[in-house]
Amino acid sequence: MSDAVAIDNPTVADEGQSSAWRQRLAVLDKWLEAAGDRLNPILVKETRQAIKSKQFAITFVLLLMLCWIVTIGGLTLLGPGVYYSAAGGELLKAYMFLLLFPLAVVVPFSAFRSLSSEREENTYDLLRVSTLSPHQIVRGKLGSAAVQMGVYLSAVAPCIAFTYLLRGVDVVTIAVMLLYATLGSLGLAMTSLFMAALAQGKHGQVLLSVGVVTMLLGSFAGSAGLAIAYLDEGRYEVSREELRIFSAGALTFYLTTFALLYLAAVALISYRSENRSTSLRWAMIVQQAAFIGWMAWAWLRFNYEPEGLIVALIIGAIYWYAMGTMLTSESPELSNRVRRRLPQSSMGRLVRGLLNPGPGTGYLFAVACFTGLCLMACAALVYVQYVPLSQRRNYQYPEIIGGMILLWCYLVTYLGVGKLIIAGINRLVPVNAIAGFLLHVIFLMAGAGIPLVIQLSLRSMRNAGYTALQLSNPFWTLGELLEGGGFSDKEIILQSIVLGAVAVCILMVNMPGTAREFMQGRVALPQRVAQDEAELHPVEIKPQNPWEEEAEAAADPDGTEA
Amino acid sequence: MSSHPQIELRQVNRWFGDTHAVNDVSFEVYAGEVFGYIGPNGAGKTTSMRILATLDEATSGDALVDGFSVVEDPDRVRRRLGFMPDYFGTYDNVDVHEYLDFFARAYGLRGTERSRALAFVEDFTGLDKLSTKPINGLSKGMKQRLCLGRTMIHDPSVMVLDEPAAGLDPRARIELREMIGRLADLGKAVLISSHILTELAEVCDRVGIIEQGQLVAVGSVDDISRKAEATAMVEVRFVGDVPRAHQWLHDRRDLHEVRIDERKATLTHAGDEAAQAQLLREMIQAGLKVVEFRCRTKSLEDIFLEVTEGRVQ
Repeated sequence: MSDAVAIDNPTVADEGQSSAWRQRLAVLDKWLEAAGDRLNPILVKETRQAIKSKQFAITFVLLLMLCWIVTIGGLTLLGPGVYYSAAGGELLKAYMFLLLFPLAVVVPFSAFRSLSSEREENTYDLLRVSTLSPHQIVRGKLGSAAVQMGVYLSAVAPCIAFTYLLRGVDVVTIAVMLLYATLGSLGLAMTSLFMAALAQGKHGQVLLSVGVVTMLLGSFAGSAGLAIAYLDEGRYEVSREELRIFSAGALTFYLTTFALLYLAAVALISYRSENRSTSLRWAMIVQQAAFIGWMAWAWLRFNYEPEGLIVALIIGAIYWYAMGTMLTSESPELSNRVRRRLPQSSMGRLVRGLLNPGPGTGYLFAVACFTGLCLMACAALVYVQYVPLSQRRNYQYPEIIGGMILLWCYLVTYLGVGKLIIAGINRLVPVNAIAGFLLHVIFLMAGAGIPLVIQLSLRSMRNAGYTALQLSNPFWTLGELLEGGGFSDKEIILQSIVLGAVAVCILMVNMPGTAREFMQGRVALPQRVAQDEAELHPVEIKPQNPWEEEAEAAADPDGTEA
Repeated sequence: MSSHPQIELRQVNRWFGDTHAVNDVSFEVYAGEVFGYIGPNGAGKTTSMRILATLDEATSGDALVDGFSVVEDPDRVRRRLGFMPDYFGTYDNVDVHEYLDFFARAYGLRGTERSRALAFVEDFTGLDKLSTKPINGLSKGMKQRLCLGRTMIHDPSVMVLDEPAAGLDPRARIELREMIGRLADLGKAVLISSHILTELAEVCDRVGIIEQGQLVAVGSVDDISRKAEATAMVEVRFVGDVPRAHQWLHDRRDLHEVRIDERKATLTHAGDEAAQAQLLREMIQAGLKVVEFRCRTKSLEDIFLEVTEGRVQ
């Protein structure tokens, strides 16, 4: 009866409908609130800020207006030709140019400013004293960049869809371009965040700001040029298979580098007592594994070209030298926090020691990884012996093996001596990763440059070409060996023996310090921490036998505790 | 007061190059206690507080919050500690509610727990009527309230407040003192710094005086007051053979902190009024021409000045 009255009475019916709507909205609101709780706090805060900020509003409106002008201008120029000419490609070029500016410059620079302004505005300390982890901080900033990117993409999306309707460009091309633009923008945002984390002081921030702006403008120019070149000619010349292989290779490099930069940024803003090195070392191992995988694939596919091995070894040596310069700048003392998680057994310490923070373990880690790469190259040299000569080129074994030995020796020597120099300076003033890197580079430049200057200064030797004086110059020596073919087999053996002896000596000199790092033992968890851990993560003790089950049932007959 | 200290500094040292900013500082603060940390600008208050808040690292020594080391377990310390620095740290385009909401989220508060915390803090700090106001448009007093609200949003057991009353008008200072008293009533250990002793005297249970990185006095306000009553400051003015008078004052073992400015001398004398009369008599018997002899009881500020200017070199 009451229902009938409600239906007959329009006011009551409207109220009933609106209350149902209110209920639905309340449910939706509750659901959104719960979803919002799971979001990164920095992402929520920065999205709120961005929506209200003038910079975002101006860029967004400007982008929309420019897209509108391009569309109207393009259609006006085409005139009736729009019905029969394939003009989509031309318009896509213009839209990509417009889109790439916010993606390659605005979004990454906003990410850089977002982190560096936290330091300038004194809000960084407030983040650090909160329970936000460094991972959450970096992910929040990155997420905020991704949201901005999504908004810009959505603004240009209708225009890009319109180019497909104009013909002259296929869906795959559009998808590939947008994918590359998105990934590139995210990669640049990650690089910018890494650089923001790197800049601690005011002067450093100013210097790095200039560097970041230059890098981003360069990236914009480069990516816009590539996009236009690809739309002009590339898509006709590049086959789908080549594109797939290139994309897979680029994606591998992108993902591993992205992970490395992300972990490095996290490490830079982590507290001193945290383990800031192990995750980075894992990322380096994964990157090396991916690199070896791709190089092996390319080597097998392209007829076992010997240059492939040499290039892989040179890239590997440069990579491990660069990583080694920073790894050898770490503090030799492990914090108690890190030592709590060390393996208890000597064997465990020996196996996992290479991944623990410390300059000695870092040095040995870099050397061990490059040695692994050399061993892979040796395995390839053995394998190629069983490949018929008709399927491959002839190998100059002395040059390849000699080059490999020299690369190993230079890496071991320069990293080892650099590490000793840093250890000496560390006794007077602390040396951070950037200072360590610079010290290593200065030492390498001195090793290569001083003999060169001496030789050029001596009238008798000026025009003598390569001499034994240049043995400490890795660039000239390796260039002479690999390109010039200027050494006899005997000379290669002699160089390998001399440089090998020096490298082994340097390695031995570094061993006592490295051994001390390996010997650091585990420390027990403080009682207060163990107590807190038990409160945070209580362990449920289940009955082990029927008597315990009975006792438990007797203690809690209703099963209420369960 | 529980037996387990909520804040414990153990021989904390901090060097910045050649500057010994914090020199072997040790003290404890218990739950429900307000500890005043007093010292002139550059004495090392902020540095030791930043070490406690896991923002700076001690060169040696350790600081514990609720039994956890700030060096080894900063994450556990941060869950229990609220730090209010001597600067605001505000964001653009954010209103009061959004600001507090962000920090509530940053401390891991979710759903109704966060709503309750926000409502409590806005009510406690009196910001509930300003929740939609942009924070950059707030007055200094209101910003201080906001910062206090942010500091207590996750209900920490320990609160470290660095110069919270700096730049506030008298009314805002009184309100702040009331709020700090209420925080102590809630069982929180409060460490509060200032370079004005009188500002803290009413609200603090104990005070520590720091000068040039060294903690030179620690005790309850009553202890320090008793010490003030037990000693007197004496000002004496001479004529005639002034150098002889100076020598006589320096030779006396019962006179301390003798400072001489031409014909006028200021000194500390431990003793009652009878002892002061005896001192005057001895001066006259020694042939010193005293034209003025004035005694006054030391105030808390005198003690503060005494320990911060005299002893530590």
